[in-house]
Amino acid sequence: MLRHYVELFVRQLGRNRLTSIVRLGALVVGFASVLLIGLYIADEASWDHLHSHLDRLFRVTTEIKDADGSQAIALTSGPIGPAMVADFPEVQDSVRLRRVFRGRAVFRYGDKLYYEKGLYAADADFFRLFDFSLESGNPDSALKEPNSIVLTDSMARKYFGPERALGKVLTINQSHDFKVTGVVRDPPPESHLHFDALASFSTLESMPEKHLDRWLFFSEWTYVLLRPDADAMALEGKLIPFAKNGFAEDPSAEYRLHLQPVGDIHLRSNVLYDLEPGGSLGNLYALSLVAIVTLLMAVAISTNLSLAQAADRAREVGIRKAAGAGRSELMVQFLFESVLWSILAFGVAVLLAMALAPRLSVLVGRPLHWRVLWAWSGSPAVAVGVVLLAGLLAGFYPAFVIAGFRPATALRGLIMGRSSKVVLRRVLVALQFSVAIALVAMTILVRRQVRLLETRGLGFERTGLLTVTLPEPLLSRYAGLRDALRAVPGVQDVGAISQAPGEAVAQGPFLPAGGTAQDDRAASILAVDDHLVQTLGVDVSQGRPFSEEFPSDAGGAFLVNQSAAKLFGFTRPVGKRLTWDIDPPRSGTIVGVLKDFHYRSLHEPIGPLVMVIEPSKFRELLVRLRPEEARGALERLGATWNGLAPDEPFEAEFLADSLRSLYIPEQRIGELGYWFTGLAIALAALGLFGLCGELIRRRRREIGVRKAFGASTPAILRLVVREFALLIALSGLVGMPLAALGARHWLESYPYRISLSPGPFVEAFGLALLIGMVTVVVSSWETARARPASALRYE
Amino acid sequence: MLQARGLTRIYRTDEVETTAVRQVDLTVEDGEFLSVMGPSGCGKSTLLNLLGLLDAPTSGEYDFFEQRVSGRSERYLSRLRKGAVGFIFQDFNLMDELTVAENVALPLLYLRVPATERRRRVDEVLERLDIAHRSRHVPGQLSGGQQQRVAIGRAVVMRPRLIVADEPTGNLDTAQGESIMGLLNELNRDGATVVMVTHSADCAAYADRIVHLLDGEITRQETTTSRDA
Repeated sequence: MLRHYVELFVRQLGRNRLTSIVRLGALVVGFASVLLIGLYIADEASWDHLHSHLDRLFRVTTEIKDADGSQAIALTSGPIGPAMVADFPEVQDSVRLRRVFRGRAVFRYGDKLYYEKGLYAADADFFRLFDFSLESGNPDSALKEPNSIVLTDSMARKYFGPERALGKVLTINQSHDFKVTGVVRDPPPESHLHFDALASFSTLESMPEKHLDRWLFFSEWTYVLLRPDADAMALEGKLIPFAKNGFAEDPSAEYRLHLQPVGDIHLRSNVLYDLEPGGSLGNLYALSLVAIVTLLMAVAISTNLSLAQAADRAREVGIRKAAGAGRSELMVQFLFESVLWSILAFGVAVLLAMALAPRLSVLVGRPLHWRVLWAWSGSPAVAVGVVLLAGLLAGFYPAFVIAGFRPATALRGLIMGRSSKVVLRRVLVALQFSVAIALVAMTILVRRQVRLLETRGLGFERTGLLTVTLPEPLLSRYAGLRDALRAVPGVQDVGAISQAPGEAVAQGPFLPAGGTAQDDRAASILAVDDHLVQTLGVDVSQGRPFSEEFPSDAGGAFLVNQSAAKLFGFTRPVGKRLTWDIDPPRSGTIVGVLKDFHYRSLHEPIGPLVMVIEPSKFRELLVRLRPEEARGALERLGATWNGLAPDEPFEAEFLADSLRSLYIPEQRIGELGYWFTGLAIALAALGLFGLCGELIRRRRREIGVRKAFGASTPAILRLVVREFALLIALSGLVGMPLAALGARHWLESYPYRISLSPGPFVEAFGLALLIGMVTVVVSSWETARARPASALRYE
Repeated sequence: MLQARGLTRIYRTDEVETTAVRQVDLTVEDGEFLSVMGPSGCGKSTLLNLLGLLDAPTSGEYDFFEQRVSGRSERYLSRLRKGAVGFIFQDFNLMDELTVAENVALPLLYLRVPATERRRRVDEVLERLDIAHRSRHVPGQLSGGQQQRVAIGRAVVMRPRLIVADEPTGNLDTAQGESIMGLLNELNRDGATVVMVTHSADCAAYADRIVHLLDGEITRQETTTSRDA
């Protein structure tokens, strides 16, 4: 019997070609969307899966509760890892990771000289915990001896070309020689940890001020590997007295240590000072929803077309029932057909998804591998389940309806579109358009939000501003360097800063004069020189900026922004005393108040900010170029730099570019939005095309009679268009509020956001209406312009 | 035998109520060839559908070979229909996607007859109907007479007790019509009960008895004097 159904299905494919194409097209689009989104989600969920001990691998995080509230950070201090191994039998091994040379160093081999950012110090057991594949060198000893370094494959080729890297010596920051003891395969994109080189942790023991034994110096990421039978939750409980004991030096705060599964870091980490920004579980859920909705839209189109063809199949039902078929046998037949549609569409969808996957890889910025999806989903069983479910869902109601036709009525051709079924089909198409309108509106809103993030006034002029890396060896002579760069034609001013706008800023405790430890307030702190404020172009609302005319500014003065003044309770802050409550404390006088400006990403609101002159913390020079002379200035700056600091590479970037890159996730969401909006519109149009085509076919006789009595083609088209325009108008009533709700929810996470105006919703509705009307006209055109005789003869 | 008492069928829509068959009392003996005649719209086809279990009466009683079927569900009727009733329609009602052999085999599929036996019986019927040479053709490639032969083949392949024919020669020319009537006669002689609706007096003459219908009611019945092949 099944063979009979399959043969019949194949023969029927060619009969109603247009309907078959529409139906197949919709299902293909639906399945392809699910496959591509599934590919992305599988990739996101597979981070760190290269480590065979992932189920036992944890990162230790620190929770700090004090008067300012509670904060969780990914960092721990030096003693914690080794102490956990010593004190807890559950802990098999620990590894510490630390960013060295302030995260940026100059590497040199021969005449090859570059800044490198991805340098970490790692304990000797690193390769025992993490399965980064060592291509040469001994994993047990590569990071044992001081001044050892393991390079990634890319780094080894960058410095040594085709030569064997093992045994070669690299000089870092002109003063530290490291012997290459291993070459490791580049960490895959799907890792929370990316590095260019790993220096042995033992190297730090010989360096001054590393505070490796201080519990209150948070500079390490600590990982632990638990024994196979260890209970992580129980261990975390034991860490409470362990932490209390270790952090006893600071009674003003409560410290707790937590075990964070390494497998959770990418999607579920909610701590500060993560190694890298992670993914978003919320985004994955949203994408899953998009995949499900897209597939359901495709299923709805398939259902719609089956119902539209119900009357055509009535005769077949009558014949089969006359030949002995029962209702259940016919239901099985139609359900089986629906599943066959699903299987066929899935096959084509796989090919389409494979063709589109490279484009998706470009969009997300890393290669996506299909093997991850198949491994993640376990087996084809999930795919089979989805295909079957889609087929059954699409086919159930039509099968139920069609198999229920009474044979006598069916054979007499008396099966008409009952009003309830017609309503259902129109409701399905209207829902599809609602989804399409909602997606179009959301996409417009996302694009506007991205534009806001990219162009919103920051309180300083971002264009014409360069950031130049200031390496540690040049700190002692930065002033001379700065003055030399200022003299370059085309340069307006140069200032030094610890973190350029947009970068993560450290926080420090500050005490207004006369306060006690309980009055400590946390504020962001930037180390700047006496030219920075002018270079940046920030407005001073009270007092003055730092100035070389006031030598006491260095070491005895602060600048605060308006938010900080409010935090400290100062209405007239200039002249007030403030203490930076570090060890040893540093007091000074507030000499100026800056208008609030965005020194961080627009993902965060402007917070309290204190500026202090502290040259040891300078990391960058900001260079303001004169707009009319900016061309060529970059080359001149490079030449001047190379003349003054030939051993330090000149690394410069326009601030506007680095600020724009902060919003790449939103830009990506916007692009993805275009894709899926296009899909949704295509599906909705397909559904409407199919519905309209079938309904018009049914009205051929009526149209023939109308034309026989004088109706023109435009008049016929107006008749049809009017009917469906109402449908789309109603779908707007559902789609627009949906979009507004979704948009409001998404925008809530942004402190600076666009306001919701009717514009995007009206645009979305207008676009849907236009596409809908074009679809209706195209599908009705042939029938509308046919000669009346052909329509009447057809009957 | 088929026995109908007070058989009535009313079609209802929101605005209109139409009585297609009204209080019909009719008995058809086993092996009888009955013809139903009447003007267009008199209820002939409706009566045929009721007798053939394609439709259910609104009221009245109907015994189908001693089984009370009036008031039964469509599910019950379909089970009873399977293998017991063969239908021949005026416009053939063949399935365009299936070949001649596949059309004829359709009832056997629903009777779960094994494939080998199915093929054997289909070949036997096609030989008898002299269309075996067209077994792989689709209906669109056949003449009207050939299509009706295929329809007859489908109706008889499962050896039904009752053959119901609705204007079997309506779309055929005279020669083809005579050939089809000859076949029906033969099937009746082989033991099948045949109930046929026709406008044609010549075709009706093949029957043992003619029932005349007007406005859904039997107006008169007549037995025929002789039946020539």
